[in-house]
Amino acid sequence: MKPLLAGFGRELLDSLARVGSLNVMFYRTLRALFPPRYDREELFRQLHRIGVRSLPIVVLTALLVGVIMVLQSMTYVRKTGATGFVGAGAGLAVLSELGPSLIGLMFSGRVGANAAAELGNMVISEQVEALRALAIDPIRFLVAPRFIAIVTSLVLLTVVGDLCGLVGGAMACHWLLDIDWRTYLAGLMEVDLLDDFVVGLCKAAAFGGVISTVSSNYGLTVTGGAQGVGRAVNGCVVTTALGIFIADYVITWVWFQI
Amino acid sequence: MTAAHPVARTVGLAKAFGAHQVLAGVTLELSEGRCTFVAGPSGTGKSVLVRHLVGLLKPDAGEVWYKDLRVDVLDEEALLGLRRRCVYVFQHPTLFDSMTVTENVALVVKYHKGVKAAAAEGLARAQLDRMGLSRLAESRPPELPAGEQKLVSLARALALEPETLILDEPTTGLDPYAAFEIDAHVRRLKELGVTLLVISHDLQSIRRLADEVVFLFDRKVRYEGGVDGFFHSADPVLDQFVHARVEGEI
Amino acid sequence: MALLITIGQMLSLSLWALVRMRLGGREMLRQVYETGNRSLLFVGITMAFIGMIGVYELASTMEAVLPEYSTLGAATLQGLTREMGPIMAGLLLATRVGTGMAAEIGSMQVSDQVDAMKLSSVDPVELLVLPRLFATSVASLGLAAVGTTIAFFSGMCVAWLGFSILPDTFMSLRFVVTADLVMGICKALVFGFTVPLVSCACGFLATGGSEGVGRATTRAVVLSSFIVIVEDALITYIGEVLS
Repeated sequence: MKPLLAGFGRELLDSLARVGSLNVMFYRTLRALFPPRYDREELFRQLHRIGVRSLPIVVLTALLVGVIMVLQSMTYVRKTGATGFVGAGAGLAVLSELGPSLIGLMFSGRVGANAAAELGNMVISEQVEALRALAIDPIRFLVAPRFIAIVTSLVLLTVVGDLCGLVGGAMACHWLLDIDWRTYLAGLMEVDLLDDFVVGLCKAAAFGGVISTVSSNYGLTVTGGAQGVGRAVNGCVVTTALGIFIADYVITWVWFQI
Repeated sequence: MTAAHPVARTVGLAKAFGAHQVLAGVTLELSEGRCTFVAGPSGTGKSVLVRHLVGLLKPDAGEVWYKDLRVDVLDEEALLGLRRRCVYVFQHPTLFDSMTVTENVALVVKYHKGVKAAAAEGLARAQLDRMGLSRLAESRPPELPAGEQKLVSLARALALEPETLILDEPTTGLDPYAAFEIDAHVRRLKELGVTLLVISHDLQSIRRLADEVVFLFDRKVRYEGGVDGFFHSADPVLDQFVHARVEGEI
Repeated sequence: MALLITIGQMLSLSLWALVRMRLGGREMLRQVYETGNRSLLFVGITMAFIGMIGVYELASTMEAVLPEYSTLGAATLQGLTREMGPIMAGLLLATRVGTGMAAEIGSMQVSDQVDAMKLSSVDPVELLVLPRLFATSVASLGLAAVGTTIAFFSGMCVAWLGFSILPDTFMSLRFVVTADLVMGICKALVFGFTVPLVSCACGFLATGGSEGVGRATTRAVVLSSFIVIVEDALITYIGEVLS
């Protein structure tokens, strides 16, 4: 019991320290964004690397999420007999909730973990110290372009993903459940999806901020060689997942208050 | 003995990493336009000492000054201004592997002179040309031998046109010819009036270039003065170091 | 492709070991404890938030579609059991445990420790992968159960405080049938089995120093999360066909 409590306490303290340093990182990133002095080529390079190359995994994930949501809503539809509801239920869930959060999770694994590993390797080979010695602010040079690229990519990918999710739902209706996709589409049209779409995009932007801040923070605070990089990547994905769901809750709550 | 204008100085500098006390009360002065060598056995905190001068480390006690600027209390943003004037070159080349040699140098130019990418590359090429390194322009750092990597990192630092340059073991681990080439560049900088601080235990370099020598031993400054005095000191520790004797305190 | 081959080899080896009953019980228990314990806090907190989000969304939708909440709790519990509990536990396991395994095995691989094992005729799969594989399956089941419970109760709090639904009304097992429970358990077991399989394979295929370990880790999260989603779709579909 005692080691368990001690471990819990230590973890709690570590977490609090981490929350503090994450906030500092977020603040410094925002400061580095103004005045806007981006390296445009670097930004485009990052956008391509981060956004375009994550497209396949996002499209596949979104299609499957659409399929799963349609299959799941069938359970309720069968109880009530309202086939028309299948589109509405799946559409709402995909646009406002599961689309952004699952795409965010996949994106964090693909991009966040990568950024943490990359920055971590730069730290242990003293390249980040060298930047500082050359009077180049690592936040402005390394973190700020990633921040913009990650947030922009995730919002755009979520737009694409939402579409794919809805298409996936239609495909599931048509091929797996023998419901005409037009019924699905009609169900989709019946509810006002614009609100859900917008809240989904707000979430995506927030998740992008979380992913960028957490991965930069873990990457830049690596200590202890190659193993430290492994630990940082691990810590990064875990904290990002937690951060994504906390942000998700806060945005959902705020949205329904308005 | 020290000239009227100390460019950089430390006063009573102390630094420990955990229980390991690296420096205890080190006072050091760099005179303008002079070439000062910091020597000492491995692990005596030479790198730790000079990293304080550009604020890469914060002292536990003591003060660090650069001209009229107190360095050890500056925040990261103010330090960027200092590091533009006083550049520290790492012992390891720390070049960016994913960029070519030109891009490595152009990065610094682009960042500090606010010029477009193409213009920055032009300036970077000119810098490489001045140092006789044009042949390396398109190579990537991992392909180059250690000596050339060090030359490139020197070129990258010089792209900032610093008034003070700190070199951390520039010739360690190089073959004699590559070391000679580095020393030639250092000599040229000296003639241009750049204030230099070189960490080295390369006795040949010290003979060739030094104006002053500071010898660190056991967390303190053991010797401070001219080159002749350094090589002909009666201090047994210095004698052991200079003549590479096995028995002694080191 | 190399990944598929590695996974295939590991799968056949593990099934063979299962048949021969060559599982170290002690080591496995230790791994279950490690995996479960290390993930419990993380899964607990995250699932609490997921429960809160889910109930918020569901209640607001119900408010708009059918203006009463009597089915909210029952529907939440069913959704959590069938779908959200296992899949989220699976994804969280992939991030928490999968990355750890890939990093651990990856750094052993790039530092030639795996080859050293082979040279001393110790089968690395049997030594490293097997205990993790079965341990994670057990842990996954436990985490999904605990996670679902936590999510349900956090959802209950939101329903109570945010929508004035009394816990009495919310706590209802009306919708959950055996089939839902079976589906949830199947999912958790399958996820728990494939996440370490994929992650360990990524670790074994790591090449090229510390950067290689980083790449292997990234690949492990993405692939194992993706496979969790694919399997979820498959199992849901099979359940749909069977009902």
